[in-house]
Amino acid sequence: MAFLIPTWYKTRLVASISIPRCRIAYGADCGRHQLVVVRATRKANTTTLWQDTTTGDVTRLKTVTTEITTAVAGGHALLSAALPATESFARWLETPLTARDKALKVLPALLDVQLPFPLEICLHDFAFPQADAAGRFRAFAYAARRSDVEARLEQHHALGLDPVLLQHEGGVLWQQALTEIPLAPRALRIVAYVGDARTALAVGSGANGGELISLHGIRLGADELATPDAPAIRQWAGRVTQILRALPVTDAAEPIQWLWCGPGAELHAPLEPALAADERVRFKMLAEPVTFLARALAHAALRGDGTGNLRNGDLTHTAILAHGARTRRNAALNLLLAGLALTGLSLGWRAWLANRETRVQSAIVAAAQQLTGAAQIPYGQEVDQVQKALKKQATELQPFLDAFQPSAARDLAEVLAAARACRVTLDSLSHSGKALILHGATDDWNRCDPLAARLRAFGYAVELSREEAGADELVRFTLKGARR
Amino acid sequence: MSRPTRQQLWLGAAALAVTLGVALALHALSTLSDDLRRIERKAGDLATLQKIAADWRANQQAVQPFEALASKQPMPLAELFAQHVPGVTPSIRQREARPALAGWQARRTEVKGEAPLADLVQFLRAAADARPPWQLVEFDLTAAERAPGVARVTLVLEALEKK
Repeated sequence: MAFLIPTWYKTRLVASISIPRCRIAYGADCGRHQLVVVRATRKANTTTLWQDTTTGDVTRLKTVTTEITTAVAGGHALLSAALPATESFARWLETPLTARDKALKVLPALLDVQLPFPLEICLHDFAFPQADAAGRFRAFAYAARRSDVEARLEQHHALGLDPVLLQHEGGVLWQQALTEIPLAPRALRIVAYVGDARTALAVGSGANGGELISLHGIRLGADELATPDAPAIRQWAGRVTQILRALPVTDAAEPIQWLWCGPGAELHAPLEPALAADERVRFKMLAEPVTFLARALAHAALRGDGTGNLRNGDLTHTAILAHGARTRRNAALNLLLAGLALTGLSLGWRAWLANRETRVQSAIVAAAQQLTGAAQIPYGQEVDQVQKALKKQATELQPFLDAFQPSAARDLAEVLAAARACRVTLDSLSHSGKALILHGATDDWNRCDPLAARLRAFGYAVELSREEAGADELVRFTLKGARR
Repeated sequence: MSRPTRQQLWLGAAALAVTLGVALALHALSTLSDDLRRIERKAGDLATLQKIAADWRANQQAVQPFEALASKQPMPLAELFAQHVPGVTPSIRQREARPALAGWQARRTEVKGEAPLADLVQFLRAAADARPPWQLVEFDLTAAERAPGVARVTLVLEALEKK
């Protein structure tokens, strides 16, 4: 029966309510006639506001309760009080199921079987859901009769205190002890809180950073144990001895660490001999033992650890209800904002696309109108219309473009110069479009070859045909050229 | 039936907003491909038109030098011919005209005559240098029998003129 204590406050609780995160938390350890109230802040400063009987300086007590009430009402602080182990039930419940959701559904039924009274008259809370080594789901159950919870609340109300959280004292004692004095991995520890009318024992081991084994309550406190050799001491020792015997066998080198705390911790001297029979036990006093439980409650509240809070159901404090409502409202608001953002994004995206399309279309129409001169152009036919319109205009532009083309005069000059250079006689020369036809004569068969070569170099594809020399010994030739 | 609480109203509004947002987002996503394709096609059309316009503007620059000329009528070919080919009276005949932009037309003129080739080259060079210029389009030369270096010529020249 073990679970990781250091990760308690990080573990998702089964049924615990959502605790608001505050910078200040008050812890109240209310006994039969003793009251300890501390204030803790996130900077780890803990101040004792009251450490006296409940019938002490009433005026000063009123000042303390007024400060707390004002801070809690303003939403700046939490007040956590303890539900005695003697008035509550705390136990591991193991299910045969491995599926978390199914296991969570059967936990109340399992608790009902374990409880000495009907579940219907109880308030309960499940914490630390986890699977054991075999994969079976288990959780730690806290329960108390509703009447006991109401009585405990009434006890605080009578002092002017209205606890936001009413937590099982065993769990917070164990956690605070681990925080203040780390535990060796193989050691066993018992945190013993002695109040004026009760004793609470939190039993656990140091394995895995600190594992709680069980929580116990004894209806004997400082009031009953203060008299030396009183039967109450033997009764108390007998009960504790039963608990010690139930502990797992440990290595002899690892003693059982017994930590005293509580307003009655000063009675350790007569109590320790009563437990001396068990040689494994080593006693130690926690620092500032009287305020220890109040500190534990305040620091648990600061962490947002509502483990074992039995002020739930219709007894839930208004601060918790308001926090829950605020959380749900914020969740709804966030959802609403997300929905609106998504809507805005989608509409904005569509609008951006439409705007872009409109701008492109407007530019198309403007360009088409400018090029065609038409006022109206059928939608989607802009390019076709422009090409059609420009085809006509292109015909009228062509004379200007032609005026910049090389003139046929250049070809004429080149042919005449080439004929002169090649010493051929031209009979006729005509040029039309890209075609050139040249008839001539030369006294050498090969002399028209340089002429043809020169015209090729000038950009003509040349076809040369020659006739055998006639009676005048001249070679007649025809040269056809086409501009490439 | 009880009235809905404020929290239920908030949740209802949130659910409505999320549903609307998701529906609109899904619609936007489903039409995104078509929308982008349509815009891309239009952007392509616009790019085509812009290229056509740029080419057109560049081509229209060809009109500017003619518009800037002091005289919009080409020099008479008879006059030019007389200057560079003395002693020959050519036969000059106006041929077809092609319409051009801005009230211009390209007029073709045929020149027939017999001329020394050297003078002919000088004539063509002077015609090309005239403003507006004459451009030789076609020619047909046949050697004249009366003297070497002389040819019977038929020339077709074209010049732009303002109507």
